[in-house]
Amino acid sequence: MVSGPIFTRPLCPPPSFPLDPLRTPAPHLRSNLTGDTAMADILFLVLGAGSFALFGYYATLLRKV
Amino acid sequence: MDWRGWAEIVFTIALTVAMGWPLGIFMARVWAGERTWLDPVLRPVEALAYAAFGVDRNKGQNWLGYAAAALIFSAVGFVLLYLQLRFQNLLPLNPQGFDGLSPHLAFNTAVSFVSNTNWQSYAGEATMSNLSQMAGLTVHNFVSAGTGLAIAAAVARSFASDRGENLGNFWVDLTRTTLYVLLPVSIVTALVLVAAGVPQALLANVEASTLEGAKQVISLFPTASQEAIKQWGTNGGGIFNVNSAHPFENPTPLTNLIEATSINALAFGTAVAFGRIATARKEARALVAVMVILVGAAAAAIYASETLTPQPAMIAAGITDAPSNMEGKEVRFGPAASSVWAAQTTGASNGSVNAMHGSFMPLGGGVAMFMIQLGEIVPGGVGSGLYGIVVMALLAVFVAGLMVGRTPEYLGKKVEAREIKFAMLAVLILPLSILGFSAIAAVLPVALEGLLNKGPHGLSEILYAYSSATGNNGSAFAGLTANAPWWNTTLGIAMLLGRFAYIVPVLAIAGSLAAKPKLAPTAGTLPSDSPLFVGLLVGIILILGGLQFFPALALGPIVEHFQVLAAAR
Repeated sequence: MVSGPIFTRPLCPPPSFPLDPLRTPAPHLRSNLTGDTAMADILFLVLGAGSFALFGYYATLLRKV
Repeated sequence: MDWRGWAEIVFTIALTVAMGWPLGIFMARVWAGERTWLDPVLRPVEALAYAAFGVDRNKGQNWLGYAAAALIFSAVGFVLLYLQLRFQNLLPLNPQGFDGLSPHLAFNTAVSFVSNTNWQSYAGEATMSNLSQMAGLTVHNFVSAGTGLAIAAAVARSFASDRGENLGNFWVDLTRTTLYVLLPVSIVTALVLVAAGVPQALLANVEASTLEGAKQVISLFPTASQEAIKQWGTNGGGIFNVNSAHPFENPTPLTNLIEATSINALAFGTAVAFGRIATARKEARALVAVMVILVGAAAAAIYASETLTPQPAMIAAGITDAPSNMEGKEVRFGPAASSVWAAQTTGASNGSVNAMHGSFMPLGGGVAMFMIQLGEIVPGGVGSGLYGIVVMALLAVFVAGLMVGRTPEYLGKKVEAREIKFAMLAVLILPLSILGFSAIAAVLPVALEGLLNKGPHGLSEILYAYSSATGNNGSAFAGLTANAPWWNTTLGIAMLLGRFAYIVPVLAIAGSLAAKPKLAPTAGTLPSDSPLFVGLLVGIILILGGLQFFPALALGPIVEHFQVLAAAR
């Protein structure tokens, strides 16, 4: 379920787009990588993938218990 | 409160258990690698999957190999889903032109779906492309549930093993569980839901004219298919912002009953399958009894709270005989169906809602939160509920053994210091993450910015959020705006801890038990299929949960309850 004040959010975006389900929208064909977001991407990928590596290390520690 | 409400609660839980029983028998056959009636169709698909990924289905794994496989699979899933969500604007099947998710939201969402939590810091209908929904989130609805069930299968085998180390093969368990169990029940349920009026469409929106002449955009999405696995996989993440309170996700009382039973049926079924694999059918029935007692008690407590607690706002409006609190509830479901759903979803790491838990009366919301804090084990998420309650059962026989001065045994396995150390490492993750993060968030300005309510209800919002994340539930007290770097990051970490820091010691327990000889019961063995054991296990679960979280609950929902009573005078 979604968090947040549910009744203050617009339920859906305004109908200013064609209703073609297979369309890849041309206006959005741009990279959304800026310097800041690229750094954030690296941070979050390292945080996520690094956590799994730590859980693996944790398992090897438990083997010695 | 009336007899029809009580009857509805009893009927829903009874039907759920009745559905789970045959499913459990079938699951045991799937886990044992036996032939099923689905083999003619699915065996070739299964063989193809093994060939494609180079899996030797006859090669077993010890607990460390099994854990490594589960972790590697989840890690790869996380990275791929993160990238898909970040760059969904560059991918097809995005008719509404949604942009890529922000890095912190992509992290939170990827962790959320990989860990079977499905916490959503976003509004699905205004954020996710069709491709993200179908090839990202729904895929993980299946495989994260399959991962949990696979680990439950490994735990079950550890009790059947006699001085061995083979817990099965993670890749085989994951493939067979997904193909033979999750996929068929989801397809059937999705078709039933479509017949009952739930949309299944790639067309994103239709326009409608209202009576006032205004234009309204109505989102559709492939809702039925996600709804089915959302419930069966105890995922809980919906297409729409308000989840199963939305008339497209859950349009009628009939769909409500179908979905409510789907939330818990596999959890009960997993206990039945556990009994067959571990050759402990009577003991498995005792586990089912504990699950039924606690989820039934929670539903009753929420229903009583929603119908008996005086409502200050109604009294102030001059309405003194309002039969129940209907704020945040759907009229088509009412208080009984909302209460039993709340108990089932919070007892099951599901997290889907058909009513807003933040709008429940304080004790009703508090019971829902407490169910999550018990560790999502009654009846629990798919797989995770079973291995969670087995950990509690080990602690229960250990406590009983201490009392009578004998070495405790459970299902023919001696429970010694090593297993208890692992069990405590697992269960202590919950208070460490829930209370630790909540304490920090309660004083940190950047966290408090997201709170809609202050006072005790604000604390409840914080506690509920970290309970939900750590317990891999995913439901929320509406009122917390979580789509911010602090909340997305810390809730993501809580989800990782609650899922994987729990799984690792659980598999260590399985490995340790598998290596022990299988003992025949003696006169000194505590019977683990007796009413005494059921009572003991219920007590251990409540005391462990109560001792850890009661002080925090006293500051949140309990004090708010007395504020409500004072305001109602």
